[in-house]
Amino acid sequence: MSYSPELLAPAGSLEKLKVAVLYGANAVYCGGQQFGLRTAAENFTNDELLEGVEFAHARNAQVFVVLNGFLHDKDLVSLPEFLYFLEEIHVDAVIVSDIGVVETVKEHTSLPIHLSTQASCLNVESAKLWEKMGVKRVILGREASIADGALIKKHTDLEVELFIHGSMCMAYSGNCVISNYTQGRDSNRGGCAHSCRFEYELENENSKQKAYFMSSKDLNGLEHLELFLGSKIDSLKIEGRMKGHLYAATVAKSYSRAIREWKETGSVSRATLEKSLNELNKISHRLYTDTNLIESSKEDSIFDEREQVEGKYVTVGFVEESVPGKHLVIDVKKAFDKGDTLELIPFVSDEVSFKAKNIFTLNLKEEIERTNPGSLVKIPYSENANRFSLIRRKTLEGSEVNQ
Amino acid sequence: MRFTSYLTKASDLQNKKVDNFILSTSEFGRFSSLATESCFELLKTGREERPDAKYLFEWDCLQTQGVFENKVTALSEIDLNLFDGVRVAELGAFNWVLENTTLPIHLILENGHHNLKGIQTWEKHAGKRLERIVLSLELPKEVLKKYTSSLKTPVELQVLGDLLLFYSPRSLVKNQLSFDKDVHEKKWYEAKANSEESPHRGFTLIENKHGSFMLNPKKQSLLQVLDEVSESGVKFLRVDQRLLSVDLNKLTFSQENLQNLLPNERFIRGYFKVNKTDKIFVKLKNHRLQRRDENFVGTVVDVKKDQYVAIKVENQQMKLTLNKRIEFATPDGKMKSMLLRSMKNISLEDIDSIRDEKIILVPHTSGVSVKTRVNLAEAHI
Repeated sequence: MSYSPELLAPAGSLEKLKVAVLYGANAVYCGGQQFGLRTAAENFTNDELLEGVEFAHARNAQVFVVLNGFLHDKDLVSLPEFLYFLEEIHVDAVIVSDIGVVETVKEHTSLPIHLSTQASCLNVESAKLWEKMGVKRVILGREASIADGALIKKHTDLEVELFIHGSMCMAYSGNCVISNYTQGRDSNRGGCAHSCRFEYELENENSKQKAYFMSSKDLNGLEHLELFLGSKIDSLKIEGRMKGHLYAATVAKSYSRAIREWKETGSVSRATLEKSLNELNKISHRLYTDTNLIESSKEDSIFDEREQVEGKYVTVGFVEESVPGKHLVIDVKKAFDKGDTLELIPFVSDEVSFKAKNIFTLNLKEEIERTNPGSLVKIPYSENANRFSLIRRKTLEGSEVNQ
Repeated sequence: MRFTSYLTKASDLQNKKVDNFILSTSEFGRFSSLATESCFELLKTGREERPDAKYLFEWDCLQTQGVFENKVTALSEIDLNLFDGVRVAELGAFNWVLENTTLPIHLILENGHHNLKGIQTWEKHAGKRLERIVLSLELPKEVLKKYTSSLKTPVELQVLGDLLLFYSPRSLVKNQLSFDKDVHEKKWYEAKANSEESPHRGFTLIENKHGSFMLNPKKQSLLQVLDEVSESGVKFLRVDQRLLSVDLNKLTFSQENLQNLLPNERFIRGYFKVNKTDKIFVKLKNHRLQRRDENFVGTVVDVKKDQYVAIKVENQQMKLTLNKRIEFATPDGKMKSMLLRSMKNISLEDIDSIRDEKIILVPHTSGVSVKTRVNLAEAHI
């Protein structure tokens, strides 16, 4: 069978699902109201799941639903009803970390099962065991390399999914219970307090110092994309269900651009890589690392800094409706002013810079000087704008950096 | 009650309450500093001095493929048959031991495994080879009781030791502080950590060849409630004295004795009595914002006082037409209703029904705010 790599993007909400698919992801993963690990994410109601699946399938994209919490006995009682629903709406697979959930899914449905990274599958023997238990795909632990993934593919009939971009757990996934004992929240059921991102004072008999010693830099595997693809890794996973629309769009577009070129020409040019890397540098992120993809993490994979709040750009909103030649309706996420220079991010083509010369209320009766987040406004039409196209503007930091 | 503990030196054998000794080497054990040669010397001594006891080899480190291959090579130089069983935590190791040895297996399921169905699946898979299951410290006694009565395999629980909070393969400690030469030679780095962003202080950090570990500031002890542990059906009680700075042969397994030996340590029972760490997941979300009704039309996305309410149409099946009544369910729980006398599309053209419109404008209604849910009134469905 010919190899067709999957770019799998996070979908923290229905809107983000649509954004990720439109910007080039050919699969997305999302969570329902229960059973997942991201309780703080907006998550999907059943109606939204249905709409998301229909939207994705209409565009040849797949939808995987996470059930990757370490579920308790009582959860398994209510799980089948949700599984029946997922099967009925033709979800493409479920992502599971617990063997009890694997068994429950098998007993009640024929839904394909993807083993979550939370299960820390890191070697061929472990993969073989999960294959025997009936999983179709393993999402390897973030400690695994591309070569490990290739070896697992060679020795099993499993599909292999490997993280290529996003935040990283410092601990072996599923092997951190700091939040359980310090916050009273089960980190493996969605209560992670991100204690690894905190600053600590470290001391021994010789020395003392303050450090963010447990915080990992963010993964960026774009430079190794050809190795991923050459190794026939089935799915390239982007982390980040909690992240915003701009992240979903930028990462999906950056990687899909490079994958598309690889499919067409058999390689990814330096120019394309630079273009995508440049875009990835514009979104909010910790310093990047390619740790573990080629060799095991070294000390330089630690992000020993306070968390960065903003990237060089912020999303000011997205196009809710586009009426060519007339206007764009913008769903405002962050305030912008009349006269601001904005950038439209088309789904495929290059970014388009334009000035917000006029901003109006929806009924065109009032002109607006400064928009309010959470409102809808009309601005003049801009080329290449489609429904769900994102609009961004430089932050102060971005302006300074880019001056 | 049968105690299981770690054999780290010959004097440990003198504790007659312990009849299962775990031998863990620095190559295979997360917290072991024992060399392979010393391990086999201790095994030999144990067989001579305590022939009544069982001796178990532990392989509880986690490993990526390259490390795993090194372990398998190292195992080829060890005669595992000298032991009475092998303890494994990582599923690759579990599978390897299952397929490449005939030894009894002690399966360590301390990480996760909070449902009986999952534990029983591994029990069934391992079959008669499975001699013991080590369960999670996050399971409260009522759950333990249910599990022990349903499992065919005897269960082990730690009753004294450290609480492991975090296990990373990365080097996180040795480059942060200054360590003496002998520490570098032993490749065993210890430090304390105090959170600067929460009140928690005194975490123990360890770095060794397997990675970096964080331990809870307070140690775990169920010694005061051993009867309850026993009543819960747990057959094997594990004491992990390795990081406690106490000789095993001095422990009588009473809390009083423990506190006398370690007067400066603080102990907690962990979650043995009760575990409420998932109470937070009773959703704090505003259920009024959740879309559940058949007659759902959409959500209010913009409001201009005295001018319009903009509704994002999210249910295209709902054929909304003029002269029907719609209801607004506001985020703060108020209900408003309105007879739909006029409706405009986003190009401000009057429409009498929704076709492909994504956003419609209806006359302003006081009290309606963004995120208000819009339903067709029951009588009009």
